[in-house]
Amino acid sequence: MATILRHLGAWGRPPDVSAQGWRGDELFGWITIVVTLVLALVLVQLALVVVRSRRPGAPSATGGDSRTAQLVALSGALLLFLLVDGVAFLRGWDDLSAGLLRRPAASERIVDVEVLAQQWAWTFRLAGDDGTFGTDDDVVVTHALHLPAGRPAQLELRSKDVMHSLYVPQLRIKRDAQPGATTELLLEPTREGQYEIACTQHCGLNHYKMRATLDVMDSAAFDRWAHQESMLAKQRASARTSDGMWAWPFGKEARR
Amino acid sequence: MKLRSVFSLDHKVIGLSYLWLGLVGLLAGGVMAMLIRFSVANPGQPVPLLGFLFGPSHVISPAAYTQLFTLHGTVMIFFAITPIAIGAFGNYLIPLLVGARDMAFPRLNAASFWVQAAASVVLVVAAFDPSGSAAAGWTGYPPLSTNVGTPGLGLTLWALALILAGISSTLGAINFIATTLTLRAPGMTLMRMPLTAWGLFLTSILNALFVPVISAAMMLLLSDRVLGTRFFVAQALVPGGGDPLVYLHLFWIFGHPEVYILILPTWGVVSDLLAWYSGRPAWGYRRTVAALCAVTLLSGVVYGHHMYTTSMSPLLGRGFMVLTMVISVPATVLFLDWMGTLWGGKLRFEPALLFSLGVMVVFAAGGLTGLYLADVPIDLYLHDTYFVVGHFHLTMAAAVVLGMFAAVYHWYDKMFGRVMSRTLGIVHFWLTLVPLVVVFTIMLWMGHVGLPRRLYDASTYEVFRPLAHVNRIGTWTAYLLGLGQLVFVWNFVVSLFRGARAEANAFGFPSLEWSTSSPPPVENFVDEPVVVRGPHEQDGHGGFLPQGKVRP
Repeated sequence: MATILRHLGAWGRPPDVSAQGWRGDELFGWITIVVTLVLALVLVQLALVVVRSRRPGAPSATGGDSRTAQLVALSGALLLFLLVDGVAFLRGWDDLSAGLLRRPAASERIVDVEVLAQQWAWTFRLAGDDGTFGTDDDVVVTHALHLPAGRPAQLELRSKDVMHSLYVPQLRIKRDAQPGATTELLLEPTREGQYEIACTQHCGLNHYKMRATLDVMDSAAFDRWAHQESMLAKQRASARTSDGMWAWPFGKEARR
Repeated sequence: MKLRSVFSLDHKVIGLSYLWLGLVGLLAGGVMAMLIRFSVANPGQPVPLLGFLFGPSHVISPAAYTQLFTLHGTVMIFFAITPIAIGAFGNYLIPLLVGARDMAFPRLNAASFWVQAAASVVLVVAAFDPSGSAAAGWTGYPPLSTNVGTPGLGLTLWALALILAGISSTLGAINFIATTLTLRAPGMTLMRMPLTAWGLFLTSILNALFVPVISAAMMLLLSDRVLGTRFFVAQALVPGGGDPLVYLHLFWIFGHPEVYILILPTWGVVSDLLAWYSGRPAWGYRRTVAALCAVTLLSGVVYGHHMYTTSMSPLLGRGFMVLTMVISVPATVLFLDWMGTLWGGKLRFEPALLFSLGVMVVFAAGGLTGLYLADVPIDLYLHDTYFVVGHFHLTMAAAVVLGMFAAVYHWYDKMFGRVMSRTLGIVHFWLTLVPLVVVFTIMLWMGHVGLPRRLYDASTYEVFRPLAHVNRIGTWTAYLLGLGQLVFVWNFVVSLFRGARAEANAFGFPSLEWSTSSPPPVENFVDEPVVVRGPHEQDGHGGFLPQGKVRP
């Protein structure tokens, strides 16, 4: 029994490990309840139609244009609209302003990241010790994004070639990377661990291989790691690798 | 077959030509669906039976897989559903339903068919191009669809095929609108038209308004590919380049109305069939017409919900969220009207009615799952996952295809003068509805777990590996669905030769096409019909009164 449950659990949604993911999950749950009820109602009603149809006698005349009918049809539609769309709309609007598209305060110790997508790799750039992008001490890592738990990370995304989309199922969010534009994405992981970053915008033959890892670390451990990498980057910088070439002025051009 | 009948200007012959063209497309798109399902469940394994299509290894490579899902979408939308729902039934039915002798512009009508046929040929050539077929998805997002992402003739010809198909649709739409507005028989007011005619009329309006937009997008794309312009190649790549986001806007300005273009004929057909097969008038005919019109109007202003994750302004996203949700009001009204029609009816369980009820089930499920996707916070999670695939397959694939099956079963007698097997029709219904619902529910489930669409091998991601079993069940269900369609092919073809001769109106249907012989003569009606009542008025004995006064 326990094995079956574990299996079923594995078939479900991966656990949410973000500060904002509960918003979508809650709404998802609410809509699912209403949708299930409505679908059940439809099926029951169809069954009743079939049963009633077997009664003797001619088909009844219609009253479809009567005042009662207008009332039933319109109020039914409005009820469903208010119950589902109304709730979803009000909640969704609030979720966006307060959560998914919020501007974190500087006191939250935001981590800024520049993300360059290309066929078929993700490259992540942290500003390094000097806090400025495009300098020798930038921390540039391909295929892996390191973030601290419990702090917001402000990502800016660009693409070198075609459209891509950065997606972390456990963070319940995705955002496209487009050539010719800079897009923004706020990530707020809460739990340490290794997660997967997937590309969800079809980007060619090896789209399915465009995978990176998200390493969510303890905040202090992250700071140590970032400092160490930044020092190493500075030491190696005399070689002037091509990595140094693609940074952009962070926070200046992003389309939210 | 005589050359004269091949190049006929008769709307009925053109309609049937469209039907054959669309059914072949449906078969091809269906085989591609089976191949996609095979690959999804067994990536890198040799394909049984059809392996020869993929070279000596018999393996669907990542390249072949991307081409397959691109072609599957393109073929199903532009070369299967469009020619059947609009080309075939629009051409065949509109003049008969409104009591006209033919279309307003018979030559334009023939031209629209032959342009569509040419588009099909171009697409077939593109599919077998040695440099590879189109592989940027049916949505063809640039820069992947420009030479930057996909060089080669395949995608160029794909764009050309879509332009040709667009020209065909636009010509057809003008013709349908003109016919509906000017050639109705005396007494056939707009509010006496069968709802099928309303569905086809509104679809034509959307076609005329929005198909030119995708044609424009495709012409710009073609120009980028062939003439070296840079409309959709971004600045980051080429100095002085354009913006791929413009393509997305153009594509979805067309792309969302397209969903309604495809479903409106089905909605019309179902509204009529539910009435005719339950012995009751359409419940709230005028309200149904109003709901259809409202959907038509709203369909033009919701397209931004396809672009929540792009660089489009989030404020626009919020606006599109509201507009998208509003469309559920007329859709619910329509659904309640259908329920009202059935309530108190005496149902005749013919295949046409069963398929109409099937439309109700999948349309309810599909429409309701749209509630999740309209909502930005949920869409940021579900966008580009299998949830979207399940949702649009339930609405614009399952609902439309079931509706078209209903129409084929209902009008087969009239079109071919023969009767299809009822038993096989019922078998076909259950072998279609059940696997359809199961396979797309599985897709919804996998999407809710977060599985992205268009992945050649989902096991790249550890988090999705537990889905492998569910995925395999989905694939086997899809095979069952595919096999079930063979029953339809058999029934359709064999009945052409062995089916009993059809009577003019064996079931006492009231609309005008049933007042003439099966199949109708070239001039449709011996005398011009005079219409005296609406499309579903009861005679008080469980039947209907014919719409028109026609000399028997």
